[in-house]
Amino acid sequence: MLTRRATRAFISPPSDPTPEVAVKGRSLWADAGARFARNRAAVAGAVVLALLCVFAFLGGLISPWDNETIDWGMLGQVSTVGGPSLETGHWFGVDETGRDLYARTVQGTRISLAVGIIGALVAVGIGTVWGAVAGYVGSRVDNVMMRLVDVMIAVPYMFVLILLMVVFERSVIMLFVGVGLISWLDMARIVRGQTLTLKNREFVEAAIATGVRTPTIIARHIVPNLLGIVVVYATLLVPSMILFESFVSFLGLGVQEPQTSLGALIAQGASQMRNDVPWMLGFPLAIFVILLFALFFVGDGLRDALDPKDR
Amino acid sequence: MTLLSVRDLSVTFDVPRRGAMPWAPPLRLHAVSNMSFDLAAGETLGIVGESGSGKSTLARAVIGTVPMSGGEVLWEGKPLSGMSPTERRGLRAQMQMVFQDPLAALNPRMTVGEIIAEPLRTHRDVPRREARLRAQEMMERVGLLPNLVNRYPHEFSGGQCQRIGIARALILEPRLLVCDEPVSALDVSVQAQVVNLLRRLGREMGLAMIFIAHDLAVVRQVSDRVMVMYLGRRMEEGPARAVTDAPLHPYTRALIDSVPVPDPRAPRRARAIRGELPSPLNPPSGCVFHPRCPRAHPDCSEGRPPVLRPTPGRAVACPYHEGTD
Repeated sequence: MLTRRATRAFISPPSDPTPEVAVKGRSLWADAGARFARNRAAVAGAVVLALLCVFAFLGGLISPWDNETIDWGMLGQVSTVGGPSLETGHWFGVDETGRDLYARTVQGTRISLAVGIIGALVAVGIGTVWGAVAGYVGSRVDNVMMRLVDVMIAVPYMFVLILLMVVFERSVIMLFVGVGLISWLDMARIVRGQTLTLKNREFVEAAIATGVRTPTIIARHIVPNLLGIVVVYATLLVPSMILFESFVSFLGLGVQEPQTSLGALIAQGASQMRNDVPWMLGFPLAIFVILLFALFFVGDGLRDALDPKDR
Repeated sequence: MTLLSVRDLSVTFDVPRRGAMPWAPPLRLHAVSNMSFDLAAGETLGIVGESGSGKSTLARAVIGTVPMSGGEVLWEGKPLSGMSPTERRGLRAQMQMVFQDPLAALNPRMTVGEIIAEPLRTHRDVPRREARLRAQEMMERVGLLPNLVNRYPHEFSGGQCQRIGIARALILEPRLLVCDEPVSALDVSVQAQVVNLLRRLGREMGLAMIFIAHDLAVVRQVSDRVMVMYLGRRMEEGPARAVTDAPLHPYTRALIDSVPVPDPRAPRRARAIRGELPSPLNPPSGCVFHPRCPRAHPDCSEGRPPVLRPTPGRAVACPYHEGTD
């Protein structure tokens, strides 16, 4: 039988051992991180992505050849001695003009990753703010801002890009500008839609009733609640930007020689397919496919981890 | 002293006609029509009515998150419509609101400390550290452990979330607190705790309160005066005891009769209201309650019923309230 004291000890709330120290809460981000870490495919994708970044940014240091020096000994007999080999130092073989394919693939991966990441950053930066402001402020501002996006989407971007390349110089910068111009449009639409549902939530009304100013409401209450969907869409945007760059390079409008990109390398490899040099297509294509798969797995994992329904 | 006066307040929403041409005039939904009431400092006004009777819209129009389409709200005799945006913003510190859905009213990405301190950081130039301390003090006052400041809303129960909402509303020590069904979403056992908390804090801080609920027992417990709404109109108003013990308006009677008696042997009172709440898009003519009224007269459908004042402080919008059913 319980004594009176024991009973009281039993029903009294558990005394806090350290009342001074505030308990650290688990934020939704921490929860999402834990969910992401449990997703094996996503973690594997992230690891592969990290390795590819190391390959793209540090891979050139260990190669005996750089991406523009022509190995004159290979010229004319690329299909017989130009294949991948450890002795010659051409680990991925050479291209049709005798340049080291390993060094060129490293450099091309770097360009492709940069294009993808810059596209995603522009989308996150401009697209999020644009969409959040349009959606939150609403009415006429919304109409003007979103019709502008509609117009930009309606303009054939290839046409604009070709014009840009012709009027200005063909350069990597121009490519980044072109990617930046189109990448944020869809993001703005997605963010606007999400903002429309968010702005009717009671915590936004509470902020309005408190007298918080509109820019602060957007920055403090709208954008942080959008970031989940923004992060997911941004990771899925990286591969589509890489594909876009590859397409542009494939048409011969992308980066300029001796610079190259994965798309340009694949285009060159594809044109050499009949000459019995499968490595020229194989290696860039393999890196490209691995990169896209890794990005899709990471994006998928992020979407599952940040799913708001799973709160 | 009168803190808040509402004069002839109307709120209308435009509802686009389904399937009509875009330029066709929209339908007008009269959510609140010609409401007037006064609220003295430190007084609690309970507002009851079925769902859809415009209680929440009235509260939001007073607090200013829903635009009013007619009438006037006066704060200490000064009309809100005549105020500059800065004055208006300053006034927001004086009137705060507690919401119905405790979790939805809290930003899921902010910690409890940040949520509670937000009004403070908006209206007073308080450094982050001090705001946090004030938030912790406030948490203690509403019955939360102050060491939970760094937690996030989803880690709390519904009752605790409502306490957080109350702490946020009271940290600026406002003079008016609008509670929009603060306990409807809570468990019955927690309802009593939250109601008692609101009553205690209201007394301690000398708050005037507008307390909206559809539970007459809760309203009677907290309010000094009660106003009964139906379809955006005032049916009856008076001291809380008087209205709940001796209702005059047939609608109030029906509301009180429909409260279940927690005694299985008690005889059932079958005099509940018939039918559904009519659409506010197309309200009945005359007295809006006449299609469901047990003692409707033929002339009830003609003209708005006069507001009678049978005793001081009591108002009833029914000329036939003394008759029998």
